Amino acid sequence: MDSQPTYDQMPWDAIAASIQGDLSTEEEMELQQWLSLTPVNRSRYEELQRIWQEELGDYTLYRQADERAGWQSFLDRMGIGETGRQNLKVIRLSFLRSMKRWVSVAALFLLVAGIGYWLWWEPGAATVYETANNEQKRISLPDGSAISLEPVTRVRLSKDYNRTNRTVVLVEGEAFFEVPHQLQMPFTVNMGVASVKDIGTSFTIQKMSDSIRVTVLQGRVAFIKNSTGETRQLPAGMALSFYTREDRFGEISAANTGSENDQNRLRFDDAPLGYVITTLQSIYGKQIVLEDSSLAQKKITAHLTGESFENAVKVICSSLGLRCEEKNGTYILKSANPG
Amino acid sequence: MNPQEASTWNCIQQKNGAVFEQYYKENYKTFFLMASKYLKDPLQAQEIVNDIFIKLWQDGERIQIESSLKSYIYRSVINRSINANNKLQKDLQNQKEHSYQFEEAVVLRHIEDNELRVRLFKAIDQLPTQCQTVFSMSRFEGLKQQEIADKLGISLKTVKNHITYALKQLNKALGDYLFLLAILIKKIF
Repeated sequence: MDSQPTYDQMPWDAIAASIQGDLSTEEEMELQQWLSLTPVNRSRYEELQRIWQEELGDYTLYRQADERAGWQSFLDRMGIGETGRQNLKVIRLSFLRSMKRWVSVAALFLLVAGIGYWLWWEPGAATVYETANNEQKRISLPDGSAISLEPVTRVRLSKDYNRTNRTVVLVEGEAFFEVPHQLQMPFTVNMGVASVKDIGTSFTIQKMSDSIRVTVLQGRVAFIKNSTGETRQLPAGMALSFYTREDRFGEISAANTGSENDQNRLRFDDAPLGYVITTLQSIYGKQIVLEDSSLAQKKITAHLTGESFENAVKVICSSLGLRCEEKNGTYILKSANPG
Repeated sequence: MNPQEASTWNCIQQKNGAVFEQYYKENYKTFFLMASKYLKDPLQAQEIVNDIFIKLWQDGERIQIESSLKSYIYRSVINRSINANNKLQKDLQNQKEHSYQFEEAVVLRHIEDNELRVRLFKAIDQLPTQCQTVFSMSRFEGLKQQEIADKLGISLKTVKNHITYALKQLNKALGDYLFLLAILIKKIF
């Protein structure tokens, strides 16, 4: 109750304008006057500022979280079809306690076995293929497709693969797909935020934590942003990245003939710095960090093919007004003009 | 464990699918957000959350939960997310965070931060439609107030009112959260 008068007396318009960086002269005077009244006011203002600038950053990600899609994925992984979904709602063990002992024991055994069978051995449950560090694997699928998994890669086939669909989920990592074209049942690789639909082809997909890169060797694919249906057609010999944090495509660029290699990955077209650094680390094996995390969103176009690590860093720094400091084997990128 | 949670957990252990599904859907976004802090990849975050819920469903009878169900799931999500990220070693932000040990205090702080964020995001979700639009254009598209007014064909004063209202709601959500946190701390000590 004591805080209510203070709450109402807060210059909300001026605070809102200030936090947005959109303050008029009159509002600034009003705000400064209020801030100078008591240190508590300044604390409250700084807390609101912090919330606005830092705590709300993941709201877009939060909006992407779809509990219904998550639940559907859960059911798919459990291999639960429509009947199973109904069973999931009604399974209870308590009714067994009311049965006579010899019947309940037998029924319990059957029910438990049934549940066990249903949960673990139902035909057509989703199939997962994955590779460990330093492991590669080639998988042949019933429709004649083949998937070559690079290390630390995980793919999942729906339980109805080659019956009602040819959909593969690339959960993480890099895989090369060879796909015979089937008009009536197109091959699709689903990566959550984006999909790739085959139009008769072979192609590589690298799924990283902040981007997805598709390179087409033969044929043509449709690279689709799932939330809006925005589509890019990629012909043979071309490559395209989708930046997941920014929810957008980059620019289509030429790939090398043959499959994607490290040198081709050093061509960046309007790419966020965070993605560039991840790629450099992967290729050169060096540790790079940003002193200020907001630098990760800066965009850069640079073709660093054939450059040494040091030259690549120099190009990046001069392009973006940064400087590089090496400390105990870690390369720290900072703004060249702090503040 | 509070009585409501204890009842929910008991139902899950008894393989009550309806209760399990309801709990999953009510809390999915919270745990998804937690996993996303470490993984930055929505599909991976979804996989991690589902890994945990599959284990809860399959092994519920064998799992002993001392504190709270939510806390148990939170810690499981954090541990799996960290493991998945250590395996990949491709995200800059998480590499920075992995340089310090994940002590109990750090885990608790991450959980508290996540709880606060969920409250704030729910407050945004409950804003009136135009208010939410104006708020999003300001905060997430970086538009100035006049730009928003011009784009939406509304007055500058209306834009200011919407932003102010949104900020007040966020402040209220923060206040409620800090109040609950204070009560919790008071009970513990």
